[in-house]
Amino acid sequence: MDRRDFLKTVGAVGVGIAAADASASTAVHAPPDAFGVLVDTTACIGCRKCEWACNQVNELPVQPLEEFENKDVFAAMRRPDAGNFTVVNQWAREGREGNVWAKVQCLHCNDPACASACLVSALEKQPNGAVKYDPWRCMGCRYCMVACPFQIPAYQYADALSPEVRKCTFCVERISGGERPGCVEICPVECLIYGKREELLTLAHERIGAYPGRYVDHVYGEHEVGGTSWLYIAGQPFTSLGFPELGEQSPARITENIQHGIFRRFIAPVALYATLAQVMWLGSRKDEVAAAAKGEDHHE
Amino acid sequence: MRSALLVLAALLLTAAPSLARQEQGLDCSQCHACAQPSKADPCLKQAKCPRHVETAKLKADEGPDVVILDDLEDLYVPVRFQHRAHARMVAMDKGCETCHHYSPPNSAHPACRECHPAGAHGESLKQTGLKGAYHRQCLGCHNDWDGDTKCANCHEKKQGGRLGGEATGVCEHSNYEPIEMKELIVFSTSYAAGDVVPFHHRNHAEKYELNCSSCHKEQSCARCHTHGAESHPMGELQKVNLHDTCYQCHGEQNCSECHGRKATDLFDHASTGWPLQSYHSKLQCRACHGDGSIYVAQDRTCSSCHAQGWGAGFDHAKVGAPLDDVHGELSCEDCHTAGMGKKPDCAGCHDDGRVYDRRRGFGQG
Repeated sequence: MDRRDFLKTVGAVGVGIAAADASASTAVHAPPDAFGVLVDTTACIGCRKCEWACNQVNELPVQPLEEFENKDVFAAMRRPDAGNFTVVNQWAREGREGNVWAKVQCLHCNDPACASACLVSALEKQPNGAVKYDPWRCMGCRYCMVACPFQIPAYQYADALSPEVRKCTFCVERISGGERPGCVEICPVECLIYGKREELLTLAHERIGAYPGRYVDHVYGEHEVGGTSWLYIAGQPFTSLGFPELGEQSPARITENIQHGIFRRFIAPVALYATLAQVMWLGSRKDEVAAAAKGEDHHE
Repeated sequence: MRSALLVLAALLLTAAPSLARQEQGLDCSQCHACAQPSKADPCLKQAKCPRHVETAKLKADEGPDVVILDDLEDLYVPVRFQHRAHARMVAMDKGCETCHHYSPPNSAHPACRECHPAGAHGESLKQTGLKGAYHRQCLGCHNDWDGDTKCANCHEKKQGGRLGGEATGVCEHSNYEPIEMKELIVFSTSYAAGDVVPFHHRNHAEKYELNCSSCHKEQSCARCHTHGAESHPMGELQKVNLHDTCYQCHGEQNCSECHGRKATDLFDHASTGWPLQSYHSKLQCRACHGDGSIYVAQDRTCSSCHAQGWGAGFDHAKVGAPLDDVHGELSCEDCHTAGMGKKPDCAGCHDDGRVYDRRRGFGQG
């Protein structure tokens, strides 16, 4: 067996195990008491008050409210960064002249890829739904930033001494104390609705059913990447609002299934050592055959 | 006996709203999930409940002129909402129901606060709080209109935590330029046999008892009043379904009634041999021709229209000749010797050769 055949064999064994395992562990459920937020983008007016409230609650560089009344920022699509955990983007409204707006922040996945990628469990899904970050555990590898399908975690590159990964905290201290997240609390049109994720899902489907002309029949975050705590409903396809088209499986399931599948019941190491033993046995047998052939040559 | 009466009264009182709804042909289970809905637990089904139940038809001017919205005084002074001005504006949209989206049976357009609880966020996930309800109704249109969502546009911030304060009247649109109605709009169409349709807009509006909302339906304010736009995008209005709009009156007759090769001039009534002058020129077509969609020739004798009116109640001023004290005493035939509706004969009384001149009236010679 040459090197190529060896790699093929090991790869095939691994993928086979992973595939056999995959069907068993794709179903991801939100924690039973998980909270969430339903964002009704058809009601959002793009006032950016949520951005302002977020900066206040999280003690981010707080600018005066007037700064957030500036609509020029809508010229380019923005992403959350280390100093702004949420941003509102403006998109062209379909079917009628005008604009629609969609708030972007961490969606707090049911099965977060960032937490899966984190080597030190600095990111963890809480029973209340929040994906919480612990700066004391974080070692700054930034794998979470690569893993996130929504490209949400941001890094404090400017801080040379104690940089942290920053993202929406789901105002975890506020919701633990029975309060609503800062953005939900301030939203003047109440297009952000905070509650139990299961109840929000029911509400979302009720609204879509009651006003089929107003909404597209899609609750973003119900199934995407295994479901998210933040849910969105909209009047036009989500791709036109800057949302990525994602499958129903969490990236964490794909990578973890492959990894855990390969090492399940110690199969991969056993297979590896068995293959190596076979290679050694084949090698020594080849030598024996060669030696025997040489001996025969001598006799002639 | 008294207790039985009390029980009966209580039953009637609790049954009153449900009876009212049943009169409207509404089935309880259409809105309520449980068999015995109460005020404390109405068990409303949002998905199936008909939200746009029209229970009263009010005209814009029947509502209040100004409404002071002072339920939620916190950081901002109350809002002075120009209710009547807005009611007139939404006549082009869905009327009162543009904002009063749900009226319980037998209740004419309740105020927001009657359904939405004071404060932010409702009592359940399904219910929008009063603050959210107000803001949605106002900003939903205002944002489309000028894209400006500054708080102070409608209510100014309280100075130094001062309580109360005067309601600000900034929600007024008096500085808005009215939209000029066009005389003529020429539509270019793809209809080969007649690609031009001239539409005499002012003529239609003034002569056929039409108001803006007769044709421009379900359109937001922003459609025409785009704040800061260089000109009003009236072209957008062409997106109304023109055929259906015209068919409302014209019926689906032959295409050439509207479609032609070139923009024709406005119909000149003088071409019928009856030039419209003075009082007649102000009339709508229907006043003489009736409700028919095809205007056929009328009997030209005055009495064909005026016969019933020559009597005691006839106001002579309506023909452009108010009678003075002296002439008011006379009988019609004293002057109209040649017949009613013909010019009066002044020579029967006046021997100075005068003829009656409408512009100068009586007594001027």
